[in-house]
Amino acid sequence: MDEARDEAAGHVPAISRRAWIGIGLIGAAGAGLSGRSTAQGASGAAASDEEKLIVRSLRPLNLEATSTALDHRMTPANSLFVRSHFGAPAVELETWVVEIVGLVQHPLKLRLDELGRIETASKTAVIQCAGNGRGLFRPRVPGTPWERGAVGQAEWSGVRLADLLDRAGVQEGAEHVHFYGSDAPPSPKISAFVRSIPIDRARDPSTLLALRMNGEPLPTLHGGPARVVVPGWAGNNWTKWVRRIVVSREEAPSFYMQTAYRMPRTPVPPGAPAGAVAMLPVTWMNVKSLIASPVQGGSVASGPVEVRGVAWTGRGHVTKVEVRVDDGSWKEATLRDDPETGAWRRWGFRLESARPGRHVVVARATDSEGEVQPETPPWNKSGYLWNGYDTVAFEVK
Amino acid sequence: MSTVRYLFMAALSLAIVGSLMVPAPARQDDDEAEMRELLARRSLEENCLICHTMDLIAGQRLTPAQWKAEVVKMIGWGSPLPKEAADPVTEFLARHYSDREPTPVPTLATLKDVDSYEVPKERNAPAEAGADLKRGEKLYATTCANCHGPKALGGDLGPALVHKAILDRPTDYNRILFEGLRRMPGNKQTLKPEDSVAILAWLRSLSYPVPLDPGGR
Ligand code: HEC
Ligand code: HEC
Repeated sequence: MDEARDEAAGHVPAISRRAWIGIGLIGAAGAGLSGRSTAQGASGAAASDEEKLIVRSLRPLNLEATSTALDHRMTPANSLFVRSHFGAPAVELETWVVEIVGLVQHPLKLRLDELGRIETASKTAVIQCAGNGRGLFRPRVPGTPWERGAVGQAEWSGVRLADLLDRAGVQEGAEHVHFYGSDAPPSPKISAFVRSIPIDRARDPSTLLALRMNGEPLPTLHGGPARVVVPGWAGNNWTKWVRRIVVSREEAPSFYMQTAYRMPRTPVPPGAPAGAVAMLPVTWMNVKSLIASPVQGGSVASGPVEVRGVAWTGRGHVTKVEVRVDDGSWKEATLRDDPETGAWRRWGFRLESARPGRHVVVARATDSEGEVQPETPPWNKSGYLWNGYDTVAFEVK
Repeated sequence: MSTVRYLFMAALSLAIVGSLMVPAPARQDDDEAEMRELLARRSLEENCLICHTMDLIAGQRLTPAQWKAEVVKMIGWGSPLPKEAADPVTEFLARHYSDREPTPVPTLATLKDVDSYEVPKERNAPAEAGADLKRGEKLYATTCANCHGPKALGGDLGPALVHKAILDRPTDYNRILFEGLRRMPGNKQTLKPEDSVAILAWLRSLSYPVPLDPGGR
């Protein structure tokens, strides 16, 4: 084990006991925890290198994209965020077979080459972790403190889930489709990561069992060889490393379906007793914009400043992005990319003249359902679906 | 067990381990606080890093009540943290990773430089071709199953091994197996290289998810 991993794993190097008490933080050196600014500052510092990722944790591996990496229509696999609960499995240990069982007429077992012979469907879609922006909620909540980069867009291709369900012949009474991954929880006391989606959503032509990403075989870290793609819905529904699909009358009974990934039907204040309101599964994303350039804490040359970014939503598509600079009024940005459900649109705004010095740019998006990105979204105890205004401070030289 | 007794027992175990050189105390109160700190840290290292790395914990900024809830949750999820260590560990976490402190600055790395078993690497192919699976299974049952569970799905002390990325890292696997890691004992005296190969080959042959009622629920 090399030193970096060792330190991140909690071993403090052999410095004097006084010294590490002085640091006062386990893993401070390895995890770079001694500074005082935020991770947005960290991403600004490395703006020139898109391949860099923000390391949230090594085991399970949680990596966040920098905003610069999101300044494109498609996010390359190597700069897309990485998230799992129990770590990426060693996928090559067993011949990959996807079985479809439960309330079906003909239970199926399909190898990857057999899946590859079924008609291919492709969809460009945003994937966003349900907890993207968790680190921005106040009061704070437990869980990986993602800030802005647990999101990305790719072209996903594979088999329509509807085609698989048709082949298996769904029986009367089927309401939900469960997905089992190949990632075992570390203890039998922990629920497996089993999730389900309603059968209508599984039958939607955009819902895929994806085998490829941006034209390449789906990388292991992104759920390869086979993951669910549910355009418009948050990443908790995009089960990775799928080996078993169970058609059922009910939702998956797992912790990750019944307890985790739920939000109150109506907002409740921090500290409200649990059970005060019904908790619904996190499904559709909400409308959101991200400023990819300038970067947080970065500096730009004087002259016109190109403010750029991406914006996306769940239902429908983004119809407007507005930008506000310093204390000015909201101005409409120019949208690029045709509207497409599930996909993001790039946008740009030219700031003709900005005085030398520090500026703050804020962006908000509106979608075809009339939803407007709020300044601050309602707090929820697990920190899901943050979509507050995106704000970047930068300097004009 | 009373706190004092817990501190005493833990101090004794530390003295036995002998890995800490404690300079003469300036004042008794300071000394007690420092000892408490050391013991809590030790408990945390031994009981909280079995399933995940410290960064998952150290990246959080929570209230004492939230930390208490996390510790309770993790004990429910299988952390072997002894009852009497729960309060000291909770206090330690609340002290060092308080919601009143700013979020720590994480490191940046390109994917290929991220030091995690999960990042696929060119396999340093395990010599499993001629491995004796039956022997691996037997050795696993006698040497490993107590902690890692009979089917390698995890047990009271050891994490699940089935389908884990470490099974693709024979060098790291061997190092942990022979040298041990925190509460995982080393096996230098007890296992031969071919034993290690046989166990690894058997672990690699396991299936997951395990068959279950196909009707689901
Ligand atoms: C038996 C395995 C195991 C042990 C031992 C364990 N944890 Fe965890 N812990 C987990 C898993 C699994 C997660 C969820 C990881 C994820 O979702 O990314 C987790 C997540 C966490 C989180 C993130 C917040 C959350 O609830 O998801 C914190 C903080 C945490 N653990 C603290 C601890 C502490 C403190 C201890 C020691 C008392 C501990 N863990 C011991 C398995 C374990
Ligand atoms: C006394 C209990 C115990 C026994 C016996 C034991 N282990 Fe472990 N093992 C552990 C614990 C605890 C860990 C986690 C160590 C840590 O990270 O703090 C572990 C970790 C491991 C890991 C690393 C897991 C990972 O994903 O990083 C491997 C591999 C492993 N053990 C293999 C074995 C094998 C093979 C045997 C039998 C020869 C064995 N262990 C026997 C307790 C045990």
